Amino acid sequence: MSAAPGLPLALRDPAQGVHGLLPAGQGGPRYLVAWLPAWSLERCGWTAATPAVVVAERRNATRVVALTPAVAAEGLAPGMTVAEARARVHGLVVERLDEGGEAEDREALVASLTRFGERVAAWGPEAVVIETSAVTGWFGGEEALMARLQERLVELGHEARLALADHPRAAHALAVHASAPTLVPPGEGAAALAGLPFAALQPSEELAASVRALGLRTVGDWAGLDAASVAGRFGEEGLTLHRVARGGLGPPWASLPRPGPRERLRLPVDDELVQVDEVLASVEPGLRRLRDQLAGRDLVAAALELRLELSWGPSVRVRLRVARPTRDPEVLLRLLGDRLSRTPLEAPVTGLLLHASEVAPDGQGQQDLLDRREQAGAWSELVARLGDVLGEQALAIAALREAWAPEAAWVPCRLGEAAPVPPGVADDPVERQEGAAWHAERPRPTLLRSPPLPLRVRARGGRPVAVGVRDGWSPVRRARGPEHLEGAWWTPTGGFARAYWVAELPEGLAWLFQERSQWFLHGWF
Amino acid sequence: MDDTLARLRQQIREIEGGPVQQVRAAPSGLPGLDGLTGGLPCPGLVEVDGPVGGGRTRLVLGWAAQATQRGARVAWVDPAGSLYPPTAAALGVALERLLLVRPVEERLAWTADQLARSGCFGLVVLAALPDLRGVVARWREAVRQGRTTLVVLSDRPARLASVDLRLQVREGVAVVQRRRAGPVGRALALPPWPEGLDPLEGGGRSPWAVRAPGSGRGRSGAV
Repeated sequence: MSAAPGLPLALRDPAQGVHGLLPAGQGGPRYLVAWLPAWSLERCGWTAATPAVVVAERRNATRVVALTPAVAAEGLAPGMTVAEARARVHGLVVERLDEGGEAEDREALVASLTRFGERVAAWGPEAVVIETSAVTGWFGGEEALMARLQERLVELGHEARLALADHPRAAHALAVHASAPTLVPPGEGAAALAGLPFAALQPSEELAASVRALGLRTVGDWAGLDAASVAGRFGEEGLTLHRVARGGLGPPWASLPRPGPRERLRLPVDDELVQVDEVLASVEPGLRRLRDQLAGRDLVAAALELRLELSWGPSVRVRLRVARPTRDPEVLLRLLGDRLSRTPLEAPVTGLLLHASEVAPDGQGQQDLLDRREQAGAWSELVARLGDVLGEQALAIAALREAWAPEAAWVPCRLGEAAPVPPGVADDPVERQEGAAWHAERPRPTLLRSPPLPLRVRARGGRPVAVGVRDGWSPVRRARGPEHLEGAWWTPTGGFARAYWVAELPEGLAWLFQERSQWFLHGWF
Repeated sequence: MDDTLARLRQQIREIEGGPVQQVRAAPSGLPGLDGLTGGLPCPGLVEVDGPVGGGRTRLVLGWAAQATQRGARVAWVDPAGSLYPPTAAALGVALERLLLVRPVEERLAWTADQLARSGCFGLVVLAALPDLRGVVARWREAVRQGRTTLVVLSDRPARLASVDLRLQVREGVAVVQRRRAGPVGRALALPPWPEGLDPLEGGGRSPWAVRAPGSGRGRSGAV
């Protein structure tokens, strides 16, 4: 624990270092995160000065999963075996992890903090996130609100470090990694985060490794990348974290990403398992425990991960994403059975670890596509099956976006996820307003070629009169145009400037365009 | 006389391998077709072919619009990824109810089967022609189980065995090539484009009649 309770708030101003009281409710939503690093011990009644650890079964041994600052100073660390910890600290108090009890206590803590915000939720095992915008005024401003919350947490026996920012991820990063409670003025998240390590944004292992490979160390380094190249290279996760790093506003509460329970459930395996049915029989009690854990936090699982440890060779990870998040053990067991039956295993299973890798608030609907509740089971199973065989990227719904280039006027969205904000557009209100609904109100083809097909075209006075086909020329019966589309001239590639024509060919109605004297077929009506 | 006809039709269905059951019909959005057949057969197998650019995709998008506006989901299996959703939306398709699926070529038939069988969709569109060996009987069973309509959309006639309805679309006209009962050869004009969207006629909101908005970051307009 690096922050003592009741410390005066060191308010961060990127320019001045210390900032005064802020007026309440400037702009968009504001998020306050309370990080409680010793939660597991405090709920057992131990204080920071007690030489105590919480232990659980991990990697075939009883290991430390939480510890007080007192024993951390003695050199203990998470992951040590309990025997090693006892050898290092005389008189060590050892508490066994009680996940069900923790969930109940966490729920009680959340309930006790509801007056500090419009909405309050647990964020992983050691933090609470509060949307404060609506109540800040009642407390006399954000600084006073933070001070009052700190006092309340001390009254409840918890040491906590607080941070308040525009984005919940930013607030979480600052609560965990800054050395003092932090209040980030609206719109100044980027500067506040710049000095933190990139890991503070909680990236996936894959993204963290990629960013390390680029030599980027801090959030500021990451924010300095071009948004378009981040989108192209690191996908949606990269884009999301890039927006956070640049001080973007937080998402709607319903879509707030909340990590699943930190702890993986190690499931007892009495003997080597060689049949799928045997594995499922061992997984079933774990799914029931998971259901209880999630229910305690009013969450449902959107993605599951089951790690199968084999008697020899590397373990096998089975990932499962469900279309409609659920905690129903029967549904999850059926989907896992379906997946396991197609997963080749080269050795008997000797260990099982279950983890809800992605969770969502219970009762939150997803896309409208998924809203026929009577078919939720069939839908989930269908999506899981198709995703297994075709790949998750093969399934999408379309979201329209404002763009001048016809091919950029929509994006595919993965099921269960909000439409991504296209790079370069979100920050450009002119583009957003002017491009809106442009394509929807004009003749556009039903099929679009990607990329456009270069064509030979005979033109007279700029108007197409014949189109080259394999064995000669196909006459253009009627043509309508040109419609000039141009845009993105500010990009490094120089953008596009096209003259579009609708051409009635014997084959059908085609959408052609001419750009820099070259003709292309772009679509069919 | 009616009983005799009904018995004969039932026997023909049995010979063709089709399910002997009550076939409902969903409105197709094509008044001529609805008047002729009562709408799209559901459950049913429908084949729509014709040259690209002739209106076949617009016709089926109209069916998709009808289905999504009724609250049903629609699956569009599009291995080429060429469907243009902005036009689908302009034709009335509720995109949030349209599932786009891009399987590899080898999984086309299986994907259509799974989607139709799931019971999650009011309409399943397969916008490509897979290898049809051995799949039609499975599709028939799938649409019966899933109580849906499977539309096979292609540029050449698939000539599926025991298809419920086959239409050929060319130059904005659909011709009934086959249906379960009743005459064939009837030509039906496709419904008009929504106002302003007709590619050749344009309309009051024709892009050639409007000024480009704004500052010129992106522009469209007449020369």
